[in-house]
Amino acid sequence: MAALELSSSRHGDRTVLHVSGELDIISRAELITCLDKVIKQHGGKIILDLTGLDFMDTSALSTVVSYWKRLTTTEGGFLALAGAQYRTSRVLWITGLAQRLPMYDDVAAALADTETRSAADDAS
Amino acid sequence: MVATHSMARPWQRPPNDSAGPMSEMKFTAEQLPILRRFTEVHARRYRMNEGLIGDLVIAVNEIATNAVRHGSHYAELRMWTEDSRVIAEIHDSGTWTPADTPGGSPPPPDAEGGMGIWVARQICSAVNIRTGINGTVVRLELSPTARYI
Repeated sequence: MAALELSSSRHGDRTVLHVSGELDIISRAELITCLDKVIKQHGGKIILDLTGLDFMDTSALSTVVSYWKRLTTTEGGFLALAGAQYRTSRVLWITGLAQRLPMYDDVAAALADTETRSAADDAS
Repeated sequence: MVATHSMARPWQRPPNDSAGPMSEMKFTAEQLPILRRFTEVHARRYRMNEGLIGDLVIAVNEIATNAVRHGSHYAELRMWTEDSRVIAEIHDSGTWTPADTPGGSPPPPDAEGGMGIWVARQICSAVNIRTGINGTVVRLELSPTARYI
């Protein structure tokens, strides 16, 4: 089994899901379970913190894409990626998804940007 | 590279005289993390460029994932160096009828799967697929110096 560690922290209406270890065809099931739980409990404004992620394959990436689409199009939420290291961002660039998925250098940048967005949403 | 159908032995020709020692590992889906470690350790042993080792691991993992997901419960990796290239062959006992050039075009923007062979093609200098009654072999070649993407 790929060692995968998941933990989450709340920031207002947003949840940061810290993903570390390795994400592949087997371990992505844990990510799915965790995402479903977070969305059910706290809503669909999610930042995936990939700082501690050492490996991600395209099956895990497909999972991320499917949640990103679902949350942005039907549930009024979002899914952003933060802190992807070279090794995991490489597969994002090769597939062209780095240009489509919202990506931030780190969690702080993702939180700052999505806070602005939330505030703008509130104001409108 | 066009997929070829063959009744011949599933493995490509055995390594020739210029080939280094072969590294072999049988694996299941659950053992993919060990396979990635195996690939990394052996690539380092081949004195492969550190930047390329990560790429090799990505390519091998993608093809190996397809093998145990669509091919058979067990699959096997064979890896060696040949004329300064690294060759990795992944064999499973499943048979399929591939498109003319599987993974030959980029995944659609909304793709939620099926990106594995495309990714391997972007990384490797050559990808060759042979499938026949004895199973499927995907052969990946990485040149030690070239970086394709």
